Parts: sequence; structure tokens; C-alpha cells
Amino acid sequence: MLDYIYFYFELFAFFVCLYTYKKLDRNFKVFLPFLAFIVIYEFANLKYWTLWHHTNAWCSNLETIIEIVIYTRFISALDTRRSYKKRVNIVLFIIVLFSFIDMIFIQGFFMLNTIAIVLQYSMLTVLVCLYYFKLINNVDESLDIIRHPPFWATAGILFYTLAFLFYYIAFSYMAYKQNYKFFILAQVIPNIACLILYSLLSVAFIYQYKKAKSIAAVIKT
Amino acid sequence: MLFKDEEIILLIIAGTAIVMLLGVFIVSFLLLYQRKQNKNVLEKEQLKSSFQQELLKTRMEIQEETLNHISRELHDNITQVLSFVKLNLGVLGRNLGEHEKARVNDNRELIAQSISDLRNLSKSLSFEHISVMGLIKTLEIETERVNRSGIINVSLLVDGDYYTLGEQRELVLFRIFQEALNNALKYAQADNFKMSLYYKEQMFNLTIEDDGVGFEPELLKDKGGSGLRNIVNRAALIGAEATINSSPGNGCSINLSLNPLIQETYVNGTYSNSPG
Repeated sequence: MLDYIYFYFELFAFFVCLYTYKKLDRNFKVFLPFLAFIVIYEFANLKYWTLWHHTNAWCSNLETIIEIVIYTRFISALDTRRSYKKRVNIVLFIIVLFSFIDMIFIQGFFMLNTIAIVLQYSMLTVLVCLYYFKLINNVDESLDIIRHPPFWATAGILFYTLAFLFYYIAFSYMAYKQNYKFFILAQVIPNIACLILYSLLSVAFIYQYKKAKSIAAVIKT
Repeated sequence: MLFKDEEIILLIIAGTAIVMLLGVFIVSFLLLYQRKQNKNVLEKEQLKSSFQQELLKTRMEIQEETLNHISRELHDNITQVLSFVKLNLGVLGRNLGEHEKARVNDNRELIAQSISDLRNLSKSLSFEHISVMGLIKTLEIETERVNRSGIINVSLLVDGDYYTLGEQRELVLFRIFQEALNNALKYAQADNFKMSLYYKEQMFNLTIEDDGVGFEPELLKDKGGSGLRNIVNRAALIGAEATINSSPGNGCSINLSLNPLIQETYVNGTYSNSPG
């Protein structure tokens, strides 16, 4: 049961997103189809429906590409500067292109593209840090960061990418050696990373919902 | 070789733990920094507000000093001169015939009336009278004086047991009354002006109403409503909250409430020219 804890948190985040969907702002609304996709994808993985040539790595590679696109677009949308968004889009394009190159020419379609994943997660970490840097410098006087939904969502993404960084760096070397202890690690780290990411995303949805509700109440009065 | 693999696993665990701690550090730093920044902004706002209050206080002190100076000039100089003129006319009247004597006496009465008016005006300008007579008495004198002129009908209602609000607060309330009366006369073309004071145990209420032409509530935000803003600012200075309501054709009402038990904010001293 504990092996699938990450799946329950994904499911939980999906239902929170579904419940709060109407009150979410445009930037957050993309999480509903994304989380629906994640839940379906993980469910298919659990049922071994994605096995092809005895591996689901091909599916993971595609899923991480979708993941990086969604998270990058979400973080870049938090910044209003058009030049910044343009630069982020260029970097995103290069990373996605490299992911396909890695998939086709470097590590292969049926192997987990860890080089591309490490690059993707490094980019996300940098983007979150840049967002925090912007928050520090241009912080709004009335902004209460504890109740600021994007802060929680980006914190989730930050912990998620940091948790996976060393894991994926060593993955290619360790996984194919069939080391039992590494398999234990492969169960624990994704569970912890998903637990943090999806619980913080849920917190972000709830704060967004509360914020929208309080604004609506003010307008009503 | 097995040992090397375990080393790598340890490295993964340690590395993951370190980067996660780094993440915790980044997030905590952001939270603490933002909290500190919010605190700084709040302190800055408080400083700004206290500076504004200090500025207002200084402005009012200068205004009071000027009014007191005018009041003294009226009392000690002009009324003395007029008294001397009245005396001279009295001496002059003794040597005149009955018809001229009657005309001189008429003039003497007019001068006496002017002296009395000037004395009342002097009293209303000076804060010394408020400290001596208190708010109610001063308002009564002022009401009587304005009613005697026949320009406007002023009524004063006092409800509850009178207690002193302190010299400075009463002075500010009196100036608010004067400002409102001035507005009613100058802009509102009001026929009636009503002032009500409610003395309750833990709350003092002042309501000023007129039946003038009224104004758009937006005027309060505009530069044009400086007299009205003055009322709000003066009220804030003594820790009171003033609400002004008006609409075209419906007159104007000013409601002011303050807690008499809470110490006044700017009122621990006396004015530079105060006798106290």
C-alpha cells in the first residue's frame, strides 16, 4: 500500500483541483487536465499497461517532456515581462529538442532518458529560484507570501526537482546494475518527491480558492 | 564493486538530503525575508503616519497661536480703542443739544454693540475660553451669538451627563464645529444648523447637521473639499472617527465618535502661548 502512496497524493491533488477549479485563475486551470493525465498515466503504469519491450521508460520519457512543458509555462506565466517569457520559451524549446535527441540518438527510446531529465529538472530549479528572486526584489507590500498560491506551487516544484536530481544522475549507472538497495531508494525518493509536490500543489489550489472566494465576498459587499 | 555501489547509494542519499535542505533554506529564507520586509513597510507606514500627524499638529498649533493673537488684539486693542471712542462720545454728548445728544447716544449704543460682538468673537477665537468655560458653555455662547445675527438658526442639543474630554480635545471639537458652521454659511446656504452632543459612559458622539444644498460625496476625495478633509484630519488627531454624509439637495451630516477613556493622541502638552 505504501508503495503507491505517490499515486494517492496525485489522486488527492486531482480532486482538490477539480473541487476548486471554478475559483482557480487561468494560470492554475491547466493543472486539471494535467493532473487528470498524470492520474491516468500512473494508473496505467500500476496496471503494467504501458509495458512495451519489457519497459515503461518510453512512456516516462514522454511524460517528463509534458511535465516540463506544463511546469515551465506555469512558472514563466508568473512573470509579466515579455522578454523573460520569450527567453524561457527558447530555453524550453532547446531542452525539449534535446530530450527528443536524447530519446532518438543518445540513450534510446526504450531507456530512461536521464540526461534529458536532469537537464529538465535543473532548468525548473533555476526557474523557481529566479521566481523567488523576483519575489524578493519586487515584492508587493500587500503580498502575504504564506497565502500566495504560486509560492506553494513553485515550492512543490522546487522540492520535487531537487529530490530527483541526484537520483536521476545515478540512475543510468545503478538501475542497470540491478542493485537491490537502489530499488529501495527508487521506491522511497519518488514517493517523497510526489508527496511533497502534490500536497503543496493542493495547498496552492486551496489558497487560490480561498483568495477567489474572499475577493468575491468583497465585491458582493 | 559492491562497496562502490553502496558508496554511490550513500552519495545519492546524502546529495538528495543536502539539496532538499538547500530547498528548505531557500523557501525559509524567502518567507523570513518577506516577513521582515512587510514589517519594514509597516514601520515605514507608521512613521509616515506619525509624521503626517506631527505636521497636522504643528499646523494646528500655528493656527491656534494666530487665532489667539488675533483674539488678544481684538480684546486688548480694538475693543479698548472703541471703549475710548465711546467714552469720548459720552463726554462730547454733554455739551450738545437734545437732538444731537440722542444721535450721539445712538452711536454710543452701536459702538457698545460692536464692543460686545468683538468680545464674543475674541472669545470664540481664543482657546483660553474653552479651557476656562468648557465645551458646552463655549458652544452655547457661540450658538447665541450666531442666532442673534439672524443669518442662520443654530440649535444645540446636549444629551447625557457632561464630562470633560480634556482641553485639547474640546478645542478640536469646537474648531470642527466652527469649520462646519463656516461651510454651512459659505457654501451650503443652510437655514438650520443642528449640533448634538451625546455623552455616554464609554462613548462620546457629536452630530452636526445642516439643511443646505449638500454636495456630491466625491467632493470629499477632491482637492475642493479641503475644509471637510480638515474636519476628518482634526478628528483623527484626537483619536476620533469622523463620517461625513451628504448628497445634493439633502444637506450634510457629520458624525464623530470617540472613546473618552482612551488617551488623546496629541494632547499631552499645552500650546506655546497657552496660559496653562
